[in-house]
Amino acid sequence: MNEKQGFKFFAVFLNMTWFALFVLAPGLMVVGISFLTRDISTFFTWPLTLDHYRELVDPVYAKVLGNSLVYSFNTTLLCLGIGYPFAWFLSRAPRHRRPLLLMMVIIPFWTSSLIRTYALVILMKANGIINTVLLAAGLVSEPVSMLYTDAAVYVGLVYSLLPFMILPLYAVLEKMDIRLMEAARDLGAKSLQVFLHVVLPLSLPGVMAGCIMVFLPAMGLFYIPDLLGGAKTMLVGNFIKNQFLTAGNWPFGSAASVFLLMLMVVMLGVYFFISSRFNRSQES
Amino acid sequence: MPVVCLNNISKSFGSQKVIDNLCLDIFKGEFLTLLGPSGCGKTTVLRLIAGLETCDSGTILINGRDQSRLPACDRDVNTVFQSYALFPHMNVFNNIAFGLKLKKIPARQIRDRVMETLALVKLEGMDNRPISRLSGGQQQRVAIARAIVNQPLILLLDEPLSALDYKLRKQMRLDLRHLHQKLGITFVFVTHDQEEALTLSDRVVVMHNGSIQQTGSPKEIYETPVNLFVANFVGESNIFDARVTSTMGPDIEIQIQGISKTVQNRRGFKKDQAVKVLLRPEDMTVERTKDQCPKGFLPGQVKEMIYKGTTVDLIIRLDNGQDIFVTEFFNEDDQDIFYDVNERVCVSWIKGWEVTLPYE
Repeated sequence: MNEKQGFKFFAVFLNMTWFALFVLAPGLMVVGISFLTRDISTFFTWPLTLDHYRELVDPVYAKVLGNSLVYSFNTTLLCLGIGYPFAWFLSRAPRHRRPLLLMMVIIPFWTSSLIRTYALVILMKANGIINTVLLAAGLVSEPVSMLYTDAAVYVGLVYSLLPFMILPLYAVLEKMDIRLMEAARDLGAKSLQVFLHVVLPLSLPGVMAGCIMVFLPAMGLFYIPDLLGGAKTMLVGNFIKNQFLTAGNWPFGSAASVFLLMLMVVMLGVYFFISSRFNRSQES
Repeated sequence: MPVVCLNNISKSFGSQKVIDNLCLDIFKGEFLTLLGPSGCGKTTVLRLIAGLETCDSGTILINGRDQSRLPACDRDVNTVFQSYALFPHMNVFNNIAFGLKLKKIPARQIRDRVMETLALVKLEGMDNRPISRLSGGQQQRVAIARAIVNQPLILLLDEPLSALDYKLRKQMRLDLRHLHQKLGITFVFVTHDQEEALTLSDRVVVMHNGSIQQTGSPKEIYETPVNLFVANFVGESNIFDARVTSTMGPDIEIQIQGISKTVQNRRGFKKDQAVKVLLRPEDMTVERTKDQCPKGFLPGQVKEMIYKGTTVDLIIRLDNGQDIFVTEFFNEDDQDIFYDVNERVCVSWIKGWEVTLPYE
């Protein structure tokens, strides 16, 4: 075995071990626990059961799921609405300035999203920074209640997930051939028509990737509704967290996790199916 | 009245002046070619007419109306782009129908016109093909069809043949000419290929550094270039330094490399003026020498002979060290045009075939 192959083997081995230890093993444990019985002292015990999956079918939980889907959907729409123009201007900025602008999109990732959510709390609470400024400026006579509203949850979700929308959109828009837009204009298309008939259809792969990357995590970000929504809104993520940490029902929480995972797998499957068909129709 | 008038237009990108005070009239139905090296501003002129750029100063009249500030989508002008710029997410039909759909023409009529245009560019039955499954030549035809289906006042073509291989390029040249004759649309064609310019155009505009060097028929451009740039850029030229020794009516006597020649005086040259004498390789005559060259012939030695089938090309080093390029044709009375390398020869030309220009 020569040196190059040795390195290849080492790199793959390292990756595989990492995945096995920190992704596969915990995942399998969750799947395993979801079939066990709840126990107060040891969290879970024998015998095997399907009860937790049966319980999930309860309309109460369907409502939680429906709620989550609505939140995720709206968050995705908001991110798309804000992220598309953002990515557009980013991709049309002078070439030498783009790395800096991209950096500014990415920098927040360097801090834990939990900490950034706390920062939002500090901004939005009754005696927080925004209210202090508004009061001092005389724009309002008493503090505006921002925290613990639906809007606050959306602000938190959109703020945390927006980069995941911007980056894939930027990737497709940056590659977009400017001459195609010129050709459309030359053939009589006004700005809006150029966008609708040329730019938008060609950026669809980025739109889909961005939507998936926002929609899926939005279902699981439990601490944002907790901290910003005052735990009034129950999402799938919160529900799972509660089962583990509050209700002490690990098997039920695991079953819900597995269910959420399956849902995501199905959505990803749909995405890959559509995007491969899209690519094929472009190529062939 | 010209269909396009460019009046004193200038255009800069940043600090670089690309078009400098350019004036040009384009007439209805003509095939006009903008010819020049890359970076001479020819594509910018095209983009200014299309409305994809706006000029810094000057006006652009299209059909008599000032359209300098009119956006591209409102001009009755269509472009065939160098890279074709076909829409990859549409098939051939939808690419060609793009402009017509925007004009809200009834679907039935669009179908007829697209099919008619497809036949015109010899792509019948290709309407359902995705763009990615077309060859370069077919893409080229779709790009042309997409533009002419709109029946524009002017068709702009930006080096449309440069991406094709030699054979296809020659075929497309012919097709373009036939298309031009059939449609009667004004064609404005941009190229850096002088052969393309000469074979296709009614009129050629030679550009250099953002301004026009010469405008004329292909014959005028080739046979009577107005300056050294045009002479060098269009075709091959041998250029001799010379000095006027005397004027004699319509002719002048000049000294070239110590030999005196009589040439036509078309530009009012005066005694003792320095001039350049230009000769095309095919306008030079070569004689074998016994000893001394006859009067009016320049002595030299064959350095290289290149057999080309219909012609023989010679590189001859004159006795003053200058290399010249001569093309000899096979013909009835001169069968023997093969020369040995290092053979001594004498070169001259028939009076009047030369172009004499001021020294620059």
